[in-house]
Amino acid sequence: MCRRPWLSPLIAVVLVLLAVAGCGRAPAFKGTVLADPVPAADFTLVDQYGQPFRLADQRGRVVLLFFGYTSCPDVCPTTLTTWKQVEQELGDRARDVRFVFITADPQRDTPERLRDHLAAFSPNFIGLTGTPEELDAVYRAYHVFVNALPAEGTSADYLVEHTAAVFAIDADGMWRLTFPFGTSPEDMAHDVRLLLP
Amino acid sequence: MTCACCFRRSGVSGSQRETRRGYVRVRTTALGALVMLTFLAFTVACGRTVEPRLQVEAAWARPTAGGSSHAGGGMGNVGAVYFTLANGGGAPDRLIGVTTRVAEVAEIHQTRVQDGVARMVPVPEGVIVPPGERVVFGPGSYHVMLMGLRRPLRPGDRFTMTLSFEQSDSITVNVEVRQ
Repeated sequence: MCRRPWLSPLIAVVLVLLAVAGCGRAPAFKGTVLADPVPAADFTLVDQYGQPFRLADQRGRVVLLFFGYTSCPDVCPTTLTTWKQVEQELGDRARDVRFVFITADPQRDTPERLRDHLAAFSPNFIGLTGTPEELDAVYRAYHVFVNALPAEGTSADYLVEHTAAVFAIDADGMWRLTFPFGTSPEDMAHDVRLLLP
Repeated sequence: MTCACCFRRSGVSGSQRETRRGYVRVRTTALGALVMLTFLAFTVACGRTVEPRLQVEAAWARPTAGGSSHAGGGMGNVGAVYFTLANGGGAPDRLIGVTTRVAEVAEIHQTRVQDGVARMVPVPEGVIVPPGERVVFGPGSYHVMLMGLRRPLRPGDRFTMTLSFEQSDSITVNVEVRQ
């Protein structure tokens, strides 16, 4: 070490350069990045106004997907409130974002119920339902776990356990990110901005 | 009672000697009573500090959907209430039940998120608040689930909710509806 006093500073400089280069390479997402982005599986379901909604028609916009149900008092309204804050945070840019809530409880969530429920959060949020078969195919494609449980120790008819993450699909229809439950609106808005064209 | 007996007995004693002995007895007994009283007072004081002392802080609920789905009634319309339970006393207590007039049923539930999957678990046994600790009822955690809401909860609304405890008296709080 003493014979080469220039070695340590050199290593330090190289390390700093590497770090700077690393920063510039990829945008730093706050959500969980899918190592290999895959094309988001296409689907057609019915929205809260009874109109068909096809994912492939949303190219050019960022789509946020969440699977939940309207009789869910805690996790789903918390996520919808986060979305509302994301929408506000994005301002005009929110026009290029689709906030899509897919029911995990088609038995109770009629389009009418979805309409009432989502209207309490934002007029722009989209609520989707379909036949159990159509929905099952979507759950499978997005690796979403949905399970209606007979409820014990409660007056609820049944409770639904479900994957509580938000998925982000970019403007090219690629599934890019997953936000775990509890992601802050600031972090989600930050990542959506990076995905917007 | 015994002391009162002693006093009376010493008072009616005949000879001086007996009286003096009586005084001695009275003094001894009085001293004993004092010690006992002190001990009793100490126990009572200690008893007071080992009681729970609960406070309910910042109770709020999320707004809920209104509109036509309310017409159906039943258990369909749900809500959640959040707050913090603080126990400033010296003993644990347990929240065992909740009632409110805005809903047919109010139950203690807990959301558990494991491997990305959210489960809502009823907690019929209630929630223990250890002495000197706070238990937060918040999004993604413990909450009071309201079922069969009698009216939609609108931002700015207020309603009352009563919490029952195993040890402490019930506490009625004002719940603010906000996002």
